[in-house]
Amino acid sequence: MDLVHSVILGFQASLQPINLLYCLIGVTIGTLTGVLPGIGPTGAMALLLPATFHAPPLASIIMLAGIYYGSQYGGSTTSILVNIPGEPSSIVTCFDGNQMARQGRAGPALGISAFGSFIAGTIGLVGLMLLARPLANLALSFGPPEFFSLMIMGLIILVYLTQKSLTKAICMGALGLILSYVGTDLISGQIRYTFDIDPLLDGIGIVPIVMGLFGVTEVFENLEETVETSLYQTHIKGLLPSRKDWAASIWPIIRGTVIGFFLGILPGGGAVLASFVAYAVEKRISKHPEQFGKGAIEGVASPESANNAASSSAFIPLLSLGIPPNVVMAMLFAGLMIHGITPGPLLLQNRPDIFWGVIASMYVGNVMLLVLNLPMIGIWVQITKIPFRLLFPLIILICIIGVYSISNSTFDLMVMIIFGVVGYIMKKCEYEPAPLILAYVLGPKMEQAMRQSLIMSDGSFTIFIVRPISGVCLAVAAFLLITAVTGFSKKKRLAVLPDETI
Amino acid sequence: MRWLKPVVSLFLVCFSLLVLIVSRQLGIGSVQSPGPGFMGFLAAALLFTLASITLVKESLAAVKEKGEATANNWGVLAKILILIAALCCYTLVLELLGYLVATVILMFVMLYVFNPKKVYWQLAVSFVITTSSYLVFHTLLQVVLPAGIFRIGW
Repeated sequence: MDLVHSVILGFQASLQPINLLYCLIGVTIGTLTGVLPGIGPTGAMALLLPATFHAPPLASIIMLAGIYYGSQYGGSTTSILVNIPGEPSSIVTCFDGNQMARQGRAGPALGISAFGSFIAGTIGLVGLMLLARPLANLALSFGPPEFFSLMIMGLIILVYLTQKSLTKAICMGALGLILSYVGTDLISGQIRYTFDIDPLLDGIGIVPIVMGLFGVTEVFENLEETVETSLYQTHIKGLLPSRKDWAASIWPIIRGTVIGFFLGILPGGGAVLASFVAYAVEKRISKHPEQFGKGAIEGVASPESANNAASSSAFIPLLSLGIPPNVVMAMLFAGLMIHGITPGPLLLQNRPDIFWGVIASMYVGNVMLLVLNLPMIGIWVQITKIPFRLLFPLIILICIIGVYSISNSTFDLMVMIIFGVVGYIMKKCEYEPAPLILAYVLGPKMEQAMRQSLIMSDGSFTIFIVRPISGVCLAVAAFLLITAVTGFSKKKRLAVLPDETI
Repeated sequence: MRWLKPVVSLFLVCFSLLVLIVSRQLGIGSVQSPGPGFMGFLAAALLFTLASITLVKESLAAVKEKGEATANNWGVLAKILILIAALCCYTLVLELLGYLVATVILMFVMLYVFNPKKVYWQLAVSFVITTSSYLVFHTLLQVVLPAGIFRIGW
């Protein structure tokens, strides 16, 4: 099947009324998630994961994907108008976007942010279409050692990009691996790490863990410091950027798109890193860098394009290799697995409708987002005024219903509460939850790949080094670990990334 | 709270030790034929090593900080503890009291914890939110929610 036929198949699937409805729901919730500080796309996806159980697989994945890229659009609204980033990937948008709003140019800032996001998202999708299939075909020749090393590299890159403590990030990764092995060993059939607790026989569910770590923990944290939203009093007019604005923004949009696209593919990379790097690059090559931070439109156009391009390209390793490059993709991975669909090179052969349907739905979703984020901007502005004292109990309630609905078990609720408390304490002690989730998702696949590799090589670990792709992945991982441990790159990493990024 | 970090590290050390022991009991196997405890053992060994290093570093840092005053916000801590206790109680009584009764009580406690004013307003809001969520999730989305001993619901 050639590319054109594949794309037509994707559009046929994604334009079904049910899929359009789920796409609309996804991008609307995504925008809402982006607009509201305090709840990220990971939490929102976890909250809605149980709601997808009874939905068709493609519709479910379209909705979950919509939440992710929709949140990148919505995140800029609060950054520009309230100076509070709805998403970590919109932190840099605050620098110039809010300054533009204060100068009475909130309209062009919101406009260029939405158009930049649309252009980047669309170009990113073209790249996704062109790259995903060759990569999936290449991945068909991968054996267990290659997959194991790729997963190790993904985890190491994620750990490398953590801000607080490398040691603690690796600790969380190891903890995630251990938690993923709770339950029945699929190879030997032996029950392990359940400590005679019967509900653990099937393992710990990802939904209670994620809802605990991202939903309940968030609420506990907000009991400490309630974010005060102070909407900048400005009349939003002229959402369409002027010719001068376009002239200043078009190259930053293109550069941001390219940077975002390639950084999004990297395991551990993603929208946050992309937006910061794009801003840094734009400032460095600008003829007037002194205007950055004072309302330069390039400072809005480039990072907003980068984070949207990254959110498109992040699907490449997930769909073609079956390896989620970041924690949000790990949630999508879980969503696919719940519906009995294994992401990876065989997805293209076995379920082309899912593969191309998701990609085509993102085109449709980007158009929906443009409509949602420009003419309807007033509604989103009003939503930022919802009092947090009402919002956070609601989040807990949705978490409860979501977790309970999976297996009607109060044990899962208890797991969620435990992980909420654990997540809160861990954050206090500077442990980040992202490596835990990614390791938890990858754990069973890593174990299977490692055991198969060792059986293949008759117990020789050199199999991971002598095979070229595997060897390169491990070399990259080792290089990153060495530079991180020696502190060689710490300054650079700190200069690019803010806290709470991954 | 300066001892919190070493305590968490100590917990991780103990937890990894436990996993190491259980992994050995499960059977690590050999490199040629890894057993069910193999990967768990490797992950726990890594966790044990790194958590031990962290424990030493953070214990030394906590000793250094001994003389420094730390501002503990007991009010916030109390709120968090009340919320945790409320959630645990909710989990225990949910199937007994049923979704509607248990959730109205939980919502009231949560709303009160977030904003300890206007009790009547919060009771009303708790009632409205609970019944609305029941309508949406149970009636419309067919999510099974417990009716409890009072069999309240529709």
